[in-house]
Amino acid sequence: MPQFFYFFIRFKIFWVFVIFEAISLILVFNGNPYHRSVYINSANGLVGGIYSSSSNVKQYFHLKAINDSLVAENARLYTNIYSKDSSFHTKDTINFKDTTAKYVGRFVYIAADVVSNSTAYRNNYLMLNVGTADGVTRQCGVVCNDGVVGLIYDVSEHFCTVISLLNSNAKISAKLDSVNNAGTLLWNGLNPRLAQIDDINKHVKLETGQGISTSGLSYVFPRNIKIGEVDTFEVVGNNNHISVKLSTPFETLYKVYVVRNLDFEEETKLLNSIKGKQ
Amino acid sequence: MYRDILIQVFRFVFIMALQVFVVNQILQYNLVNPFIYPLFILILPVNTSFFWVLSLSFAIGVVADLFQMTAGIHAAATVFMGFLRIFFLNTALSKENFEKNISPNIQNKGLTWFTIYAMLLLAVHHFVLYLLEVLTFNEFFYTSLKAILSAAASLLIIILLEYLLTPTGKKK
Repeated sequence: MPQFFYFFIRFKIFWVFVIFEAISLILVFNGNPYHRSVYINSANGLVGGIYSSSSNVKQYFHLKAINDSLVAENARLYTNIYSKDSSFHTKDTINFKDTTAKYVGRFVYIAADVVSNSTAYRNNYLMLNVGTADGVTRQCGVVCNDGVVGLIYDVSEHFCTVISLLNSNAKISAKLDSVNNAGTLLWNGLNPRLAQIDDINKHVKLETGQGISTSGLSYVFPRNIKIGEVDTFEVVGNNNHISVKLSTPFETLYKVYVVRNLDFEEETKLLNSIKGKQ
Repeated sequence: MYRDILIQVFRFVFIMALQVFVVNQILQYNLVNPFIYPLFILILPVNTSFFWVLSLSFAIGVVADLFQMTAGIHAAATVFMGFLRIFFLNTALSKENFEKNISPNIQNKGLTWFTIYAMLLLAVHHFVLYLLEVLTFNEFFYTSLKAILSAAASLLIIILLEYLLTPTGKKK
């Protein structure tokens, strides 16, 4: 027994090291998202405050680019409203208009500034300057003018953290625009401009430049929000492995929208009740 | 005594601010993503007790984690680096260095010595960091490449910083 204590005292450097390393590794490997969220949320107040004051300064350098993208978005929305096939101005679609209004109304957009962002890790997160006080919940998605950004990970009162599309935990339901075949969008960690869809059947005809957008099957994002376009593809087994050129410029994100589905709980409850019966 | 502590606190804040507001804003590519905050641990005075080296490693790692929105990976990597620093300094420094309680920087130990010292510890730090971040050996080659390139970039910035911030007039 004394030898045991002697060992302990002799290697006290080692034990202090083990204790600190253990605390860090518990944080890394903790499967319980609650602990992680406590750790991140306690930081949100201070770190979020520091980051939002620095992003206030940083945004001045990008005012022109931000303005241009907002004007381009306005132009796109005007085109949608006044285009021929829009349901706003044609009389023969009155019945249809009623349902679309309800459909569109399910989603609420909340404007937000990106206060911190990264693209360099395998698992990237963003921080936005909106929180529960602005109506953000954990089941929201995040989009920008150019496409999908990610999913809300955690919310505090005035800030929220977002799982970027560039994260191994982000799985987004995507579809091919022309043929409506849906698949799951993942990121392999190599290039922040390319993501992958590996589960679209090989009989589906693909071509480079084909648009890819959200499928609307996940209850988080509305249908038809742009994700990107087909860059390259190859047939592996029964499936096409598609490399998707993302339309969202993740390196230069400043203004984004949090999308909240007002019917999320109702829809998932219904879905879960089906799963329970099987 | 208080002056020394104040200098260390100032260094801590300054290096972290530099990391968050300058390096992270400018240099963030997928392959090259340098971290300069280990400089704080590298240039702690040599007689700092092992307990303080490890505590401060843990502290600066946790602060880095909070700013990078990661959980524990910076803390784990920096504590590991601090642990190796103790052994490295015990073998690579003379008794005289310990008696004078020097800070192991370029000014005191020269460029070659410092480069080897910083290169070894930074390589270990970045390697642990990126392995823990990916948490898989599947992409081992890519992760190693990322760690090596990032560590090289960090080393370059740290050496430049050392030259920029050392007063040239007086020699200790």
